[in-house]
Amino acid sequence: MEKIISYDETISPELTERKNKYLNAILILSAITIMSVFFYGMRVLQLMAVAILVSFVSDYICVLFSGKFRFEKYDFSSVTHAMIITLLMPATVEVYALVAAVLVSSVIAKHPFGGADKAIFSPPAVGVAFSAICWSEQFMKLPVPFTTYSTTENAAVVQFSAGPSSILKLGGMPKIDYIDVLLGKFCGGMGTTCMLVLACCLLYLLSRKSIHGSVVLTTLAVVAVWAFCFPRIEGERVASLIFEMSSDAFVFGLMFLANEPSTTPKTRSGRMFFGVILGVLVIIFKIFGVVNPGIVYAILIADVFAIPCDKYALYITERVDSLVDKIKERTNSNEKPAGKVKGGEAND
Amino acid sequence: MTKTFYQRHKKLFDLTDGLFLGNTVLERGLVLAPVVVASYNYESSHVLGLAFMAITFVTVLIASFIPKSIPYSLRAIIYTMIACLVFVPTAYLLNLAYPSSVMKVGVFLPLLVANSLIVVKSESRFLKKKKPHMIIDLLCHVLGFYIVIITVGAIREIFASGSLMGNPIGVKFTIPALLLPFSGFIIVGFLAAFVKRINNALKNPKPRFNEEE
Repeated sequence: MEKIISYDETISPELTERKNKYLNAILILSAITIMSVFFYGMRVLQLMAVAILVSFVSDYICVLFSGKFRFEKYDFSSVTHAMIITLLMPATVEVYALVAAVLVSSVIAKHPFGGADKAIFSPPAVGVAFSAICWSEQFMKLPVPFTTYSTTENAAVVQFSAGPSSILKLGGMPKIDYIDVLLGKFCGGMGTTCMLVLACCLLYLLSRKSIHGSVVLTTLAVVAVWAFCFPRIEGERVASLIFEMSSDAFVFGLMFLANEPSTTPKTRSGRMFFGVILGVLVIIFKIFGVVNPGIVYAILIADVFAIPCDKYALYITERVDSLVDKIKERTNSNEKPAGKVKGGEAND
Repeated sequence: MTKTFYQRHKKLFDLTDGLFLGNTVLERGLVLAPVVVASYNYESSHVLGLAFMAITFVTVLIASFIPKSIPYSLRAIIYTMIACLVFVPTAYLLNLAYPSSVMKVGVFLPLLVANSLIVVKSESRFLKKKKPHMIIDLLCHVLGFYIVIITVGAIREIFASGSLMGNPIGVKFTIPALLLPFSGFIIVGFLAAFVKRINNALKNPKPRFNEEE
Protein backbone atom coordinates (compact mmCIF):
# COMPACT_ATOMS: atom_id res chain seq x y z
CA MET A 1 0.00 0.00 0.00
CA GLU A 2 1.36 3.41 -0.93
CA LYS A 3 2.15 5.71 1.96
CA ILE A 4 0.33 9.02 1.76
CA ILE A 5 2.85 11.85 2.02
CA SER A 6 1.56 15.13 3.38
CA TYR A 7 2.63 18.43 1.81
CA ASP A 8 4.77 19.34 4.85
CA GLU A 9 6.79 16.11 4.53
CA THR A 10 7.95 17.10 1.05
CA ILE A 11 9.56 20.27 2.39
CA SER A 12 13.11 20.08 3.71
CA PRO A 13 13.54 20.58 7.50
CA GLU A 14 15.46 23.83 6.91
CA LEU A 15 12.57 25.26 4.92
CA THR A 16 10.05 24.15 7.53
CA GLU A 17 12.16 25.74 10.24
CA ARG A 18 12.41 28.96 8.25
CA LYS A 19 8.67 29.00 7.58
CA ASN A 20 7.84 28.42 11.26
CA LYS A 21 10.33 31.01 12.42
CA TYR A 22 8.99 33.77 10.18
CA LEU A 23 5.33 32.91 10.73
CA ASN A 24 5.81 32.85 14.51
CA ALA A 25 7.63 36.19 14.35
CA ILE A 26 4.87 37.76 12.22
CA LEU A 27 2.21 36.43 14.61
CA ILE A 28 3.97 37.84 17.66
CA LEU A 29 4.77 41.15 15.98
CA SER A 30 1.11 41.48 15.02
CA ALA A 31 0.11 41.05 18.67
CA ILE A 32 2.58 43.75 19.69
CA THR A 33 1.28 45.98 16.88
CA ILE A 34 -2.24 45.78 18.30
CA MET A 35 -0.95 47.12 21.64
CA SER A 36 0.94 49.89 19.83
CA VAL A 37 -2.21 50.91 17.95
CA PHE A 38 -4.01 51.07 21.29
CA PHE A 39 -1.33 53.42 22.71
CA TYR A 40 -0.42 55.54 19.70
CA GLY A 41 -3.39 55.33 17.33
CA MET A 42 -3.76 54.49 13.65
CA ARG A 43 -0.46 56.17 12.77
CA VAL A 44 1.27 52.93 13.80
CA LEU A 45 -0.59 51.01 11.10
CA GLN A 46 0.06 53.71 8.51
CA LEU A 47 3.80 53.64 9.27
CA MET A 48 3.86 49.86 9.23
CA ALA A 49 2.08 49.68 5.88
CA VAL A 50 4.61 52.08 4.36
CA ALA A 51 7.52 50.13 5.86
CA ILE A 52 6.26 46.77 4.59
CA LEU A 53 5.60 48.16 1.11
CA VAL A 54 9.05 49.78 0.86
CA SER A 55 10.74 46.69 2.26
CA PHE A 56 8.96 44.38 -0.17
CA VAL A 57 9.70 46.54 -3.22
CA SER A 58 13.36 47.13 -2.30
CA ASP A 59 13.85 43.44 -1.52
CA TYR A 60 12.33 42.45 -4.85
CA ILE A 61 14.55 44.89 -6.76
CA CYS A 62 17.60 43.49 -4.94
CA VAL A 63 16.49 39.94 -5.77
CA LEU A 64 16.20 40.94 -9.44
CA PHE A 65 19.69 42.47 -9.29
CA SER A 66 21.10 39.23 -7.94
CA GLY A 67 19.87 37.43 -11.06
CA LYS A 68 16.86 35.65 -9.55
CA PHE A 69 13.27 36.37 -10.43
CA ARG A 70 11.49 35.36 -7.24
CA PHE A 71 12.02 35.39 -3.49
CA GLU A 72 13.44 32.30 -1.81
CA LYS A 73 10.79 29.92 -0.56
CA TYR A 74 9.24 31.00 2.75
CA ASP A 75 11.49 34.04 2.96
CA PHE A 76 9.17 36.47 4.73
CA SER A 77 12.06 38.52 6.04
CA SER A 78 10.91 41.64 4.20
CA VAL A 79 7.70 41.67 6.25
CA THR A 80 9.26 40.75 9.62
CA HIS A 81 12.15 43.18 9.26
CA ALA A 82 9.81 46.03 8.29
CA MET A 83 7.60 45.28 11.31
CA ILE A 84 10.57 45.11 13.69
CA ILE A 85 11.98 48.41 12.39
CA THR A 86 8.62 50.15 12.72
CA LEU A 87 7.99 48.91 16.24
CA LEU A 88 11.44 49.99 17.41
CA MET A 89 10.79 53.60 16.40
CA PRO A 90 8.90 56.27 18.34
CA ALA A 91 5.35 56.88 17.08
CA THR A 92 6.16 60.43 16.01
CA VAL A 93 9.00 59.41 13.70
CA GLU A 94 8.89 61.02 10.26
CA VAL A 95 8.09 58.74 7.35
CA TYR A 96 11.39 59.49 5.58
CA ALA A 97 13.38 58.28 8.62
CA LEU A 98 11.42 55.02 8.61
CA VAL A 99 11.81 54.56 4.85
CA ALA A 100 15.57 55.23 5.10
CA ALA A 101 15.87 52.64 7.88
CA VAL A 102 14.02 50.02 5.82
CA LEU A 103 16.06 50.76 2.69
CA VAL A 104 19.38 50.59 4.54
CA SER A 105 18.31 47.36 6.22
CA SER A 106 17.43 45.77 2.89
CA VAL A 107 19.92 47.26 0.42
CA ILE A 108 23.00 47.57 2.63
CA ALA A 109 22.68 45.05 5.46
CA LYS A 110 20.79 42.16 3.86
CA HIS A 111 21.19 41.60 0.13
CA PRO A 112 24.89 42.41 -0.40
CA PHE A 113 25.64 39.46 1.92
CA GLY A 114 23.29 37.06 0.15
CA GLY A 115 19.96 37.53 1.96
CA ALA A 116 18.55 37.38 5.47
CA ASP A 117 20.06 33.96 6.22
CA LYS A 118 23.60 35.11 5.46
CA ALA A 119 23.70 38.67 6.81
CA ILE A 120 26.60 39.30 9.17
CA PHE A 121 24.78 42.05 11.08
CA SER A 122 21.13 42.02 12.09
CA PRO A 123 19.52 43.95 9.16
CA PRO A 124 16.79 45.71 11.21
CA ALA A 125 19.43 46.78 13.76
CA VAL A 126 21.55 48.31 10.98
CA GLY A 127 18.53 50.16 9.58
CA VAL A 128 17.43 51.57 12.93
CA ALA A 129 21.00 52.50 13.91
CA PHE A 130 21.44 54.38 10.62
CA SER A 131 18.21 56.32 11.08
CA ALA A 132 18.96 57.04 14.74
CA ILE A 133 22.38 58.47 13.83
CA CYS A 134 20.96 60.58 10.98
CA TRP A 135 17.94 61.96 12.79
CA SER A 136 18.83 61.45 16.46
CA GLU A 137 16.48 64.23 17.64
CA GLN A 138 13.49 62.16 16.46
CA PHE A 139 14.64 59.21 18.57
CA MET A 140 15.34 61.29 21.68
CA LYS A 141 11.88 62.94 21.73
CA LEU A 142 9.52 60.18 22.81
CA PRO A 143 5.74 60.73 22.61
CA VAL A 144 3.56 60.11 25.65
CA PRO A 145 1.09 57.25 25.00
CA PHE A 146 -2.47 58.30 24.02
CA THR A 147 -1.30 61.75 22.81
CA THR A 148 -0.07 60.89 19.32
CA TYR A 149 -1.76 61.72 16.09
CA SER A 150 -2.58 60.20 12.73
CA THR A 151 -1.30 61.70 9.50
CA THR A 152 -4.60 63.56 9.06
CA GLU A 153 -4.57 65.22 12.49
CA ASN A 154 -2.63 68.15 13.90
CA ALA A 155 0.83 67.27 15.21
CA ALA A 156 0.73 70.08 17.78
CA VAL A 157 -1.32 68.02 20.26
CA VAL A 158 1.47 65.53 20.83
CA GLN A 159 3.17 65.60 24.23
CA PHE A 160 6.78 64.53 24.47
CA SER A 161 8.72 63.28 27.46
CA ALA A 162 12.08 61.76 28.29
CA GLY A 163 12.13 57.96 28.36
CA PRO A 164 13.06 56.03 31.53
CA SER A 165 16.53 55.34 30.14
CA SER A 166 17.35 59.07 29.97
CA ILE A 167 16.12 59.57 33.56
CA LEU A 168 18.12 56.58 34.79
CA LYS A 169 21.21 57.96 33.09
CA LEU A 170 20.90 61.10 35.20
CA GLY A 171 20.51 59.00 38.35
CA GLY A 172 16.83 59.89 38.70
CA MET A 173 13.83 57.70 39.47
CA PRO A 174 11.29 57.50 36.63
CA LYS A 175 7.83 58.43 37.90
CA ILE A 176 6.08 55.42 36.44
CA ASP A 177 3.86 52.97 38.33
CA TYR A 178 4.88 49.34 38.16
CA ILE A 179 1.43 48.57 36.73
CA ASP A 180 2.07 51.10 33.96
CA VAL A 181 5.41 49.41 33.30
CA LEU A 182 3.59 46.10 32.91
CA LEU A 183 0.95 47.66 30.63
CA GLY A 184 3.49 49.73 28.68
CA LYS A 185 2.06 53.14 29.55
CA PHE A 186 5.33 55.02 29.37
CA CYS A 187 7.48 56.66 26.69
CA GLY A 188 9.46 54.47 24.34
CA GLY A 189 9.49 52.84 20.93
CA MET A 190 6.08 51.93 19.52
CA GLY A 191 6.25 48.23 20.37
CA THR A 192 8.92 48.13 23.02
CA THR A 193 7.15 49.19 26.20
CA CYS A 194 4.34 46.75 27.01
CA MET A 195 6.21 44.36 29.31
CA LEU A 196 3.27 42.03 29.92
CA VAL A 197 2.66 41.41 26.23
CA LEU A 198 6.40 41.18 25.56
CA ALA A 199 6.82 38.61 28.37
CA CYS A 200 3.99 36.49 26.96
CA CYS A 201 5.48 36.76 23.46
CA LEU A 202 8.91 35.80 24.82
CA LEU A 203 7.47 32.71 26.50
CA TYR A 204 5.60 31.76 23.33
CA LEU A 205 8.67 32.13 21.13
CA LEU A 206 10.80 30.18 23.63
CA SER A 207 8.22 27.39 23.80
CA ARG A 208 8.06 27.23 19.99
CA LYS A 209 11.89 27.25 19.87
CA SER A 210 11.76 30.18 17.47
CA ILE A 211 14.39 31.98 19.51
CA HIS A 212 17.36 30.69 21.48
CA GLY A 213 16.75 30.61 25.23
CA SER A 214 20.48 30.44 25.84
CA VAL A 215 21.06 33.90 24.31
CA VAL A 216 17.99 35.55 25.82
CA LEU A 217 18.26 34.15 29.34
CA THR A 218 22.03 34.71 29.64
CA THR A 219 21.73 38.34 28.53
CA LEU A 220 18.74 38.90 30.82
CA ALA A 221 20.67 37.35 33.73
CA VAL A 222 23.79 39.48 33.14
CA VAL A 223 21.82 42.74 32.95
CA ALA A 224 19.59 41.76 35.88
CA VAL A 225 22.58 40.99 38.12
CA TRP A 226 24.17 44.33 37.19
CA ALA A 227 20.93 46.28 37.74
CA PHE A 228 20.38 44.66 41.13
CA CYS A 229 23.96 44.82 42.42
CA PHE A 230 24.86 48.26 41.07
CA PRO A 231 21.56 50.18 40.96
CA ARG A 232 21.61 53.53 39.19
CA ILE A 233 18.76 54.68 41.45
CA GLU A 234 20.32 55.07 44.87
CA GLY A 235 19.07 52.50 47.37
CA GLU A 236 16.32 51.20 45.06
CA ARG A 237 17.52 47.83 43.86
CA VAL A 238 14.13 46.45 42.80
CA ALA A 239 13.09 49.65 41.03
CA SER A 240 16.43 49.75 39.26
CA LEU A 241 15.99 46.14 38.14
CA ILE A 242 12.47 46.82 36.81
CA PHE A 243 13.29 50.04 34.96
CA GLU A 244 16.57 48.75 33.49
CA MET A 245 14.72 45.73 32.12
CA SER A 246 11.82 47.69 30.71
CA SER A 247 13.67 50.65 29.18
CA ASP A 248 15.63 51.12 25.98
CA ALA A 249 13.79 48.41 23.97
CA PHE A 250 15.82 45.81 25.86
CA VAL A 251 13.38 42.87 25.85
CA PHE A 252 12.11 43.61 22.33
CA GLY A 253 15.67 43.80 21.01
CA LEU A 254 16.59 40.51 22.67
CA MET A 255 13.60 38.78 21.10
CA PHE A 256 13.87 40.01 17.55
CA LEU A 257 17.37 41.39 16.97
CA ALA A 258 19.64 39.15 19.01
CA ASN A 259 18.15 35.98 17.53
CA GLU A 260 18.80 36.40 13.82
CA PRO A 261 19.83 32.90 12.68
CA SER A 262 22.80 34.17 10.68
CA THR A 263 24.23 36.21 13.55
CA THR A 264 23.90 33.79 16.46
CA PRO A 265 26.51 31.14 17.33
CA LYS A 266 25.75 27.53 16.44
CA THR A 267 26.52 25.77 19.74
CA ARG A 268 24.67 26.28 23.02
CA SER A 269 27.85 27.17 24.94
CA GLY A 270 28.73 29.62 22.14
CA ARG A 271 25.32 31.23 22.43
CA MET A 272 25.71 31.55 26.20
CA PHE A 273 29.09 33.19 25.66
CA PHE A 274 27.45 35.48 23.09
CA GLY A 275 24.73 36.31 25.63
CA VAL A 276 27.34 37.33 28.22
CA ILE A 277 29.11 39.59 25.67
CA LEU A 278 25.78 41.11 24.63
CA GLY A 279 24.79 41.67 28.25
CA VAL A 280 28.04 43.49 29.00
CA LEU A 281 27.62 45.63 25.86
CA VAL A 282 24.03 46.46 26.79
CA ILE A 283 25.24 47.63 30.22
CA ILE A 284 27.97 49.77 28.62
CA PHE A 285 25.45 51.39 26.26
CA LYS A 286 22.98 51.93 29.10
CA ILE A 287 25.64 53.79 31.10
CA PHE A 288 27.53 55.65 28.38
CA GLY A 289 25.22 55.57 25.31
CA VAL A 290 23.90 58.86 24.01
CA VAL A 291 21.60 57.67 21.21
CA ASN A 292 18.35 55.69 21.60
CA PRO A 293 17.80 52.73 21.43
CA GLY A 294 21.11 51.52 22.88
CA ILE A 295 20.33 47.81 22.43
CA VAL A 296 20.62 48.22 18.65
CA TYR A 297 24.28 49.30 18.87
CA ALA A 298 25.06 46.66 21.48
CA ILE A 299 23.69 43.97 19.15
CA LEU A 300 25.61 45.31 16.14
CA ILE A 301 28.88 45.11 18.10
CA ALA A 302 28.01 41.71 19.59
CA ASP A 303 27.30 40.36 16.07
CA VAL A 304 31.00 40.76 15.31
CA PHE A 305 31.75 38.20 18.05
CA ALA A 306 29.04 35.75 16.96
CA ILE A 307 31.27 33.47 14.88
CA PRO A 308 34.29 33.46 17.22
CA CYS A 309 31.96 32.78 20.18
CA ASP A 310 31.66 29.09 19.21
CA LYS A 311 35.46 28.85 19.11
CA TYR A 312 35.96 30.68 22.41
CA ALA A 313 33.27 28.61 24.11
CA LEU A 314 34.82 25.37 22.82
CA TYR A 315 38.25 26.49 24.03
CA ILE A 316 36.91 27.43 27.46
CA THR A 317 34.93 24.17 27.88
CA GLU A 318 38.00 22.15 26.82
CA ARG A 319 40.18 24.01 29.34
CA VAL A 320 37.60 23.52 32.08
CA ASP A 321 37.27 19.80 31.21
CA SER A 322 41.04 19.32 31.29
CA LEU A 323 41.21 21.16 34.62
CA VAL A 324 38.48 18.94 36.06
CA ASP A 325 40.32 15.83 34.76
CA LYS A 326 43.54 17.00 36.38
CA ILE A 327 41.81 17.59 39.70
CA LYS A 328 40.21 14.12 39.49
CA GLU A 329 43.60 12.54 38.69
CA ARG A 330 45.18 14.26 41.69
CA THR A 331 42.43 13.20 44.05
CA ASN A 332 42.70 9.63 42.68
CA SER A 333 46.49 9.61 43.11
CA ASN A 334 46.07 10.82 46.71
CA GLU A 335 43.62 7.99 47.40
CA LYS A 336 45.71 5.29 45.62
CA PRO A 337 48.18 4.42 48.45
CA ALA A 338 45.30 3.69 50.81
CA GLY A 339 43.66 1.55 48.11
CA LYS A 340 46.87 -0.43 47.62
CA VAL A 341 47.04 -1.20 51.30
CA LYS A 342 43.42 -2.26 51.25
CA GLY A 343 44.00 -4.36 48.15
CA GLY A 344 47.08 -5.85 49.74
CA GLU A 345 45.13 -6.70 52.83
CA ALA A 346 42.43 -8.29 50.73
CA ASN A 347 45.01 -10.33 48.78
CA ASP A 348 46.55 -11.41 51.99
CA MET B 1 34.87 31.57 -31.63
CA THR B 2 34.50 35.35 -31.95
CA LYS B 3 36.50 37.38 -29.47
CA THR B 4 34.83 39.89 -27.19
CA PHE B 5 35.74 43.58 -27.18
CA TYR B 6 37.82 43.03 -24.02
CA GLN B 7 39.71 40.09 -25.53
CA ARG B 8 40.42 42.05 -28.72
CA HIS B 9 41.77 45.05 -26.81
CA LYS B 10 43.30 43.20 -23.85
CA LYS B 11 46.68 44.93 -24.24
CA LEU B 12 45.09 48.36 -23.99
CA PHE B 13 43.00 47.26 -21.00
CA ASP B 14 46.12 45.87 -19.29
CA LEU B 15 48.02 49.09 -19.92
CA THR B 16 45.26 51.26 -18.44
CA ASP B 17 44.43 48.72 -15.74
CA GLY B 18 44.93 51.14 -12.83
CA LEU B 19 42.34 53.54 -14.15
CA PHE B 20 39.29 51.35 -13.59
CA LEU B 21 39.51 47.54 -13.65
CA GLY B 22 42.55 47.37 -11.34
CA ASN B 23 41.79 50.56 -9.46
CA THR B 24 43.99 51.27 -6.43
CA VAL B 25 41.03 51.78 -4.09
CA LEU B 26 38.18 49.80 -5.60
CA GLU B 27 39.96 46.67 -6.81
CA ARG B 28 42.99 46.46 -4.55
CA GLY B 29 41.63 48.13 -1.40
CA LEU B 30 44.72 50.32 -0.99
CA VAL B 31 44.88 53.94 0.28
CA LEU B 32 41.42 53.58 1.80
CA ALA B 33 41.77 55.89 4.80
CA PRO B 34 41.72 59.27 3.02
CA VAL B 35 38.84 58.17 0.78
CA VAL B 36 36.72 56.86 3.64
CA VAL B 37 37.45 59.43 6.34
CA ALA B 38 38.59 62.70 4.83
CA SER B 39 36.74 62.91 1.52
CA TYR B 40 33.42 64.14 2.86
CA ASN B 41 33.05 66.94 0.32
CA TYR B 42 34.23 67.80 -3.16
CA GLU B 43 36.95 70.28 -2.17
CA SER B 44 38.61 68.06 0.44
CA SER B 45 38.55 65.19 -2.06
CA HIS B 46 40.02 67.42 -4.76
CA VAL B 47 42.86 68.55 -2.49
CA LEU B 48 43.65 65.00 -1.36
CA GLY B 49 43.42 63.69 -4.94
CA LEU B 50 45.78 66.36 -6.29
CA ALA B 51 48.24 65.83 -3.44
CA PHE B 52 48.18 62.06 -3.97
CA MET B 53 48.75 62.45 -7.71
CA ALA B 54 51.67 64.84 -7.30
CA ILE B 55 53.39 63.01 -4.42
CA THR B 56 53.01 59.49 -5.81
CA PHE B 57 53.83 60.27 -9.43
CA VAL B 58 56.97 62.32 -8.73
CA THR B 59 58.19 59.98 -5.97
CA VAL B 60 57.89 56.78 -7.99
CA LEU B 61 59.43 58.49 -11.00
CA ILE B 62 62.47 59.57 -8.96
CA ALA B 63 62.55 56.19 -7.20
CA SER B 64 62.95 54.45 -10.57
CA PHE B 65 66.48 55.92 -10.78
CA ILE B 66 67.60 54.45 -7.47
CA PRO B 67 69.89 51.45 -8.07
CA LYS B 68 68.50 48.00 -7.25
CA SER B 69 71.77 47.07 -5.55
CA ILE B 70 70.60 48.89 -2.42
CA PRO B 71 68.71 46.46 -0.11
CA TYR B 72 64.89 46.69 -0.26
CA SER B 73 64.54 47.73 3.37
CA LEU B 74 66.75 50.74 2.73
CA ARG B 75 65.12 51.53 -0.61
CA ALA B 76 61.67 51.68 1.04
CA ILE B 77 63.00 54.22 3.55
CA ILE B 78 64.56 56.25 0.72
CA TYR B 79 61.25 56.25 -1.24
CA THR B 80 59.41 57.59 1.81
CA MET B 81 62.07 60.25 2.32
CA ILE B 82 61.72 61.33 -1.31
CA ALA B 83 57.93 61.47 -0.79
CA CYS B 84 58.49 63.69 2.25
CA LEU B 85 60.60 66.04 0.14
CA VAL B 86 57.97 66.13 -2.60
CA PHE B 87 55.27 66.73 0.04
CA VAL B 88 56.77 70.08 1.11
CA PRO B 89 56.25 72.02 -2.16
CA THR B 90 53.00 70.14 -2.86
CA ALA B 91 51.51 71.18 0.50
CA TYR B 92 52.79 74.73 0.01
CA LEU B 93 51.15 75.07 -3.43
CA LEU B 94 47.91 73.48 -2.28
CA ASN B 95 47.84 75.77 0.72
CA LEU B 96 48.10 78.75 -1.61
CA ALA B 97 45.33 77.47 -3.86
CA TYR B 98 42.95 76.02 -1.21
CA PRO B 99 43.92 77.55 2.16
CA SER B 100 40.94 76.29 4.18
CA SER B 101 40.75 72.78 2.71
CA VAL B 102 44.38 71.89 3.49
CA MET B 103 43.64 72.51 7.17
CA LYS B 104 40.39 70.51 6.99
CA VAL B 105 41.94 67.31 5.61
CA GLY B 106 44.35 67.40 8.54
CA VAL B 107 46.67 64.48 9.08
CA PHE B 108 45.53 62.64 5.96
CA LEU B 109 47.56 64.96 3.72
CA PRO B 110 50.98 64.27 5.28
CA LEU B 111 50.06 60.58 5.64
CA LEU B 112 50.02 60.30 1.84
CA VAL B 113 53.84 60.17 1.87
CA ALA B 114 53.66 56.61 3.18
CA ASN B 115 50.90 55.36 0.87
CA SER B 116 50.92 51.79 -0.42
CA LEU B 117 51.64 52.74 -4.04
CA ILE B 118 54.96 54.28 -2.97
CA VAL B 119 56.02 51.79 -0.32
CA VAL B 120 54.79 48.47 -1.75
CA LYS B 121 53.50 48.78 -5.33
CA SER B 122 56.51 50.74 -6.58
CA GLU B 123 58.68 47.66 -6.02
CA SER B 124 56.21 44.95 -6.92
CA ARG B 125 54.73 46.59 -10.02
CA PHE B 126 55.96 49.93 -11.35
CA LEU B 127 59.74 49.49 -11.11
CA LYS B 128 59.55 46.13 -12.87
CA LYS B 129 58.38 47.81 -16.07
CA LYS B 130 60.18 49.85 -18.71
CA LYS B 131 60.06 53.60 -18.15
CA PRO B 132 57.40 54.56 -20.76
CA HIS B 133 55.12 51.73 -19.65
CA MET B 134 55.75 52.57 -16.02
CA ILE B 135 54.81 56.22 -16.56
CA ILE B 136 51.54 55.33 -18.32
CA ASP B 137 50.68 52.72 -15.67
CA LEU B 138 51.52 55.13 -12.85
CA LEU B 139 49.47 57.90 -14.44
CA CYS B 140 46.50 55.54 -14.78
CA HIS B 141 46.80 54.50 -11.12
CA VAL B 142 46.94 58.04 -9.73
CA LEU B 143 44.17 59.19 -12.07
CA GLY B 144 42.07 56.20 -10.99
CA PHE B 145 42.53 57.21 -7.36
CA TYR B 146 41.60 60.81 -8.18
CA ILE B 147 38.41 59.73 -9.97
CA VAL B 148 37.35 57.53 -7.04
CA ILE B 149 38.04 60.08 -4.31
CA ILE B 150 36.26 62.82 -6.28
CA THR B 151 33.25 60.54 -6.89
CA VAL B 152 33.00 59.58 -3.22
CA GLY B 153 33.43 63.21 -2.09
CA ALA B 154 30.82 64.50 -4.54
CA ILE B 155 28.26 61.81 -3.61
CA ARG B 156 28.73 62.54 0.10
CA GLU B 157 28.49 66.31 -0.36
CA ILE B 158 25.37 66.12 -2.54
CA PHE B 159 23.44 63.78 -0.28
CA ALA B 160 24.74 64.95 3.11
CA SER B 161 24.86 68.71 2.65
CA GLY B 162 22.68 69.25 -0.44
CA SER B 163 25.45 71.11 -2.25
CA LEU B 164 28.28 70.54 -4.72
CA MET B 165 31.58 72.44 -4.58
CA GLY B 166 30.01 74.46 -1.78
CA ASN B 167 27.08 75.65 -3.93
CA PRO B 168 23.56 74.58 -2.91
CA ILE B 169 21.95 72.48 -5.65
CA GLY B 170 18.42 72.36 -4.28
CA VAL B 171 18.47 68.91 -2.68
CA LYS B 172 15.99 69.23 0.18
CA PHE B 173 16.27 65.73 1.62
CA THR B 174 19.73 65.26 3.13
CA ILE B 175 21.28 62.39 5.07
CA PRO B 176 23.75 63.91 7.57
CA ALA B 177 25.23 60.51 8.46
CA LEU B 178 26.92 60.41 5.05
CA LEU B 179 29.52 62.78 6.50
CA LEU B 180 30.61 60.06 8.94
CA PRO B 181 33.36 57.55 8.05
CA PHE B 182 31.04 54.51 8.04
CA SER B 183 29.17 55.98 5.08
CA GLY B 184 32.48 56.29 3.25
CA PHE B 185 32.99 52.56 3.70
CA ILE B 186 29.49 51.83 2.40
CA ILE B 187 29.92 54.01 -0.71
CA VAL B 188 33.38 52.56 -1.46
CA GLY B 189 31.90 49.08 -0.95
CA PHE B 190 29.17 49.68 -3.52
CA LEU B 191 31.59 51.20 -6.02
CA ALA B 192 33.95 48.24 -5.51
CA ALA B 193 31.08 45.81 -6.09
CA PHE B 194 30.26 47.67 -9.32
CA VAL B 195 33.87 47.38 -10.53
CA LYS B 196 33.96 43.71 -9.56
CA ARG B 197 30.81 43.04 -11.55
CA ILE B 198 32.19 44.74 -14.66
CA ASN B 199 35.47 42.90 -14.20
CA ASN B 200 33.64 39.58 -14.07
CA ALA B 201 31.48 40.43 -17.06
CA LEU B 202 34.52 41.37 -19.14
CA LYS B 203 36.83 38.57 -18.08
CA ASN B 204 34.31 35.73 -17.93
CA PRO B 205 31.76 36.62 -20.62
CA LYS B 206 28.63 34.52 -20.93
CA PRO B 207 28.64 32.52 -24.18
CA ARG B 208 26.29 33.89 -26.79
CA PHE B 209 23.32 31.81 -27.89
CA ASN B 210 24.78 30.80 -31.27
CA GLU B 211 28.17 30.00 -29.65
CA GLU B 212 26.73 27.52 -27.15
CA GLU B 213 26.08 25.00 -29.89
